[in-house]
Amino acid sequence: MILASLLSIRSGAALLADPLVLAAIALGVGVGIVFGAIPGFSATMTIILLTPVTVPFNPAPALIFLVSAYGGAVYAGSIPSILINTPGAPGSVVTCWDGYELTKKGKAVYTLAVSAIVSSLAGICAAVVLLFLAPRIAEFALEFGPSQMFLFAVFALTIIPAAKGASLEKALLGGCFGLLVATVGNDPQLSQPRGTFGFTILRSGVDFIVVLIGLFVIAEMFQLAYRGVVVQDDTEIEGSFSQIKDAFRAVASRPVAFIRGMLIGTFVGSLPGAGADVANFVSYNEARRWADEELADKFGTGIIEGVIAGDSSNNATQGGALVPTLTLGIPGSGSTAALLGAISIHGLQPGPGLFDRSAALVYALILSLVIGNLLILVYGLPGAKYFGKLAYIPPKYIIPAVVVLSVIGGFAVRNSLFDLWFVLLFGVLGVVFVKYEYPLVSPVLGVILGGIAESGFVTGWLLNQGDPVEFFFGSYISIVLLALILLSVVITIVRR
Amino acid sequence: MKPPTISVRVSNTNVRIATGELLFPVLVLGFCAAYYIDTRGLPDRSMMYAGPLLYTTVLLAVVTVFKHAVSFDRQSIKRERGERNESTPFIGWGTDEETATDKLEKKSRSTGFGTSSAVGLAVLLIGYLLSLYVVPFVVGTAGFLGCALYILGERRPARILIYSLGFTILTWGVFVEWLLVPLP
Amino acid sequence: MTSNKTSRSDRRQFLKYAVTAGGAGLAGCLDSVGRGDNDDTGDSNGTYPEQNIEVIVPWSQGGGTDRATRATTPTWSDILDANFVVQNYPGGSTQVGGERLYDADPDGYTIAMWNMPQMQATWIFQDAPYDMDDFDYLGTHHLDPTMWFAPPESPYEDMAEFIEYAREEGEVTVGTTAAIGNTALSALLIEDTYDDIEFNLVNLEGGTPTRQATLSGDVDASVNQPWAFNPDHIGEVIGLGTHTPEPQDLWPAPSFAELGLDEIPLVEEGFGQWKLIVAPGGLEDEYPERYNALVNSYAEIFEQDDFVSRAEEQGGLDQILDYNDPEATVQEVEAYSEFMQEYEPLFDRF
Repeated sequence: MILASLLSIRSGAALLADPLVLAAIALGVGVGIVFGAIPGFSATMTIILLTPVTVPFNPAPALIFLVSAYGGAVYAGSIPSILINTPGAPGSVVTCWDGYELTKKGKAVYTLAVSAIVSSLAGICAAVVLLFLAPRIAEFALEFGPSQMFLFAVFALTIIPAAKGASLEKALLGGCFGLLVATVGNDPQLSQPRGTFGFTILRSGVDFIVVLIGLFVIAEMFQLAYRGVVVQDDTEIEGSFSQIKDAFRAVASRPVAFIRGMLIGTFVGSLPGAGADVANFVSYNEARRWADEELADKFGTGIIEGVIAGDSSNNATQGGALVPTLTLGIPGSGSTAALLGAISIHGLQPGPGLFDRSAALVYALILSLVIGNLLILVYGLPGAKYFGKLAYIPPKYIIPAVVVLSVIGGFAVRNSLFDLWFVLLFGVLGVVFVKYEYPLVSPVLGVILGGIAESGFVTGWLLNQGDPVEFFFGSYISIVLLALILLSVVITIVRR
Repeated sequence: MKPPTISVRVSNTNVRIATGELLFPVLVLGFCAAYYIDTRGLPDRSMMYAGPLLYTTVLLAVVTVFKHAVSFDRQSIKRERGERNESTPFIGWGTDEETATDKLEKKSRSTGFGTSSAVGLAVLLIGYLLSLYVVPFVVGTAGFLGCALYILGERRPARILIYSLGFTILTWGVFVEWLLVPLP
Repeated sequence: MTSNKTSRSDRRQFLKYAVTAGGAGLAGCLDSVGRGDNDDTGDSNGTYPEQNIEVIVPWSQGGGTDRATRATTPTWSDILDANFVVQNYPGGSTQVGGERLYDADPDGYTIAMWNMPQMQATWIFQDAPYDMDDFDYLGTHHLDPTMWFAPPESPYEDMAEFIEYAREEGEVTVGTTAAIGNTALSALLIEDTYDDIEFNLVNLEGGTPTRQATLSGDVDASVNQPWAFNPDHIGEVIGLGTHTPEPQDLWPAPSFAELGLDEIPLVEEGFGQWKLIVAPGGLEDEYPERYNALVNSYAEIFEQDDFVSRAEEQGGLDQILDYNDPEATVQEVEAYSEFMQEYEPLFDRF
């Protein structure tokens, strides 16, 4: 068995020796970085948009190109987070909180370098984990049924009351509003329209990407149009080479923070349907919870720990999410669901037989993750010097361009002009939220987790025939999750 | 500019309503009411999760209103009696202390940014979205880019032209021609 | 991938490198300028097709309908010498995509891969503004029969034993892929036929969660289709039987008729999930030559080796391919509409 898989790994590596495949990785990561860095384009949409482009090519370079673009996009989501306080993708929301503060202090190059280093390392570590633990992770993913997914969503939602500096009722109101917005659309059991007010498009709900573009990108552009500055002109950009050296030192001196984020990312990634969009919040919250009181208070004021927490988790989800996708055909995140489509277009059938039928290609895919993530470092470190200057482009040139890209991104989610009105509505709401001190994270988490929470609850409840004991204590995973929820709530109460 | 704070005297209590703080909770309550009306005839199974969530949201909105937007003040009456005619409610603008953003606002006014540019951008965005229903994407986008750049302070026509046309062609080439996004 | 690439894909191939090499905008322009010339010189009454044909898929990328569509369009592209663009409009149990098709011009540049009986369900059970007569039907694609599955190591081997088991247990949990559709109808028909069994019906929302719930034993049985479930899992989960008169080739499982379950309605006729190509109504009348071009080229796909082998790679899709010409397709659509209407009251019980 081990010998067989070692042989497969070797044949996978042989596939990678093809210059076309190597070129596919290099191009994929590059294109992924460009799309990921555009506010409003998530990794999922990057994959969907690029899928048709790969059709004329053989499966190996085509799929490796897409997987590389996926990795590049997840990483690059943090670039605009750090520079202009607008996440490029839902997996990089938390990176704004400390990343942008650091940029305001003139540390953009340093922060971008840290982001590239931890993204790259976490991606590589997760790929190695995937290489050796794939069957275990797949079994584990199967154990996560609907009721477990509901409890996991509740656990992730306990981040809301922990939000710093906001009153409890405002944080909770924002969260419930987000959850309620997520229920708009056909209900999960009987497909009855709820809150659609007669609009057919709303039967498929309000896409969370649309909400995210509004709350984080458009709202930030409104505020930027008001205040007129990204960073104060008098802030010096600190020199680049020493900054990159400092970045390596910063990561090396915080191995625990990095490993924690990486493990959380791999774990969340392997759960059905939850990817980088959820992982970065969980990781940030755990980093803050594990920190001593003095450090915990500094989260959000521009400390590198915050950036490490977010960026070590989001790229690690890729490995974790690919395992159930390839072995069971059960996608571990929104992005891998889109990838599933691309995989079958190229004539591969994800599922238990995939490793038997196409072992070389599967291992080549996994190994390409290692190379792709190394390339993130190759592009990201020298790039940090140049990207960092973007924050110094006059806002009058940034704002219109970002708004147009958001409009294209919001449209491309479902090819619908209707969604753009939601982008605008949530953009205005975002400004209201900031002005009246509602934590923006609450509605966003609500919208991201709402779908998982509702279908997990309803399906799990019905599968257990309405028996609460079975629902809450039916498996050891449920009990562990309940304990985590309890612990999280207790810690929040104590800290408050 | 700040939304007004309204003071109303009800018997011997002075009720102060911060209208800005009311904004979001009232919006949520309105949404909840509409949602309730839209879903009222549905079977229980459709609402087994959404129903309780709806009531929780309403409750939280009400709590938020009473904790942040409305305050009852018995003691201040005497103080205010001397100054204002107590029988008529007064509306005061910007009663809160000057915040950091206000200071920033003052500073940036000189550079052409401020409320007018932010509101202008919002209005332009509405116009842009509306235009996409009638004119092709390229036309609406180039127009929006040019106008937005103008209200944000750029006055040199050459720059406006190059910026709006250049960026439009770039996005159109990538998204419409290459990636086949069916933009209008 | 295909033997004779169209010039469009060559250009794409070039573009892919050109664009990623950094000349994104420039390359995009060159491409469009080239195409613009063609449009300008081409007579508007000239040869069809002269622009991209959009294929609406009312499901998300990666689902069964999406996979079947994308396995088909490359070959269709070669035959018709056109570029097909697959666009996913998921949601509303296919109504979102359905309305998109209904609103599209019947000019031969928008078609859809839809499925039955979900299609009928949108106007029978939902508030869709269209019905059967608002569309032109170009042909069927494949028929995936309704099939029952049980988790590994269940104490029953086929549908007859499962019904017996349900009798003893009082109530059993059955997962379906949707609230309204062939899987739910199959479960409702069986429950209705046998007074002494009761199903706790749970809509698992799609093929992927259904597969997961069946593999992990969260349900006593689930209803899906063999190809949608993925024949990779043969031997891993138990195939209880298909809602058909004859057994099918894709998954070794008995048919309900073989098991003596003929008293269940629709076993004799057999029913499953059809996928078919639909165009906005009026295409045949307004542009008969475009309609014929589409119909004829579509029929030809099923004789092409590259299509069949691509279908085979898609988990044995080649074994359930089932092309019907427009006339036969309309008959099938009518038949499905009739029984969906007939059994509508059953769904109230869900």
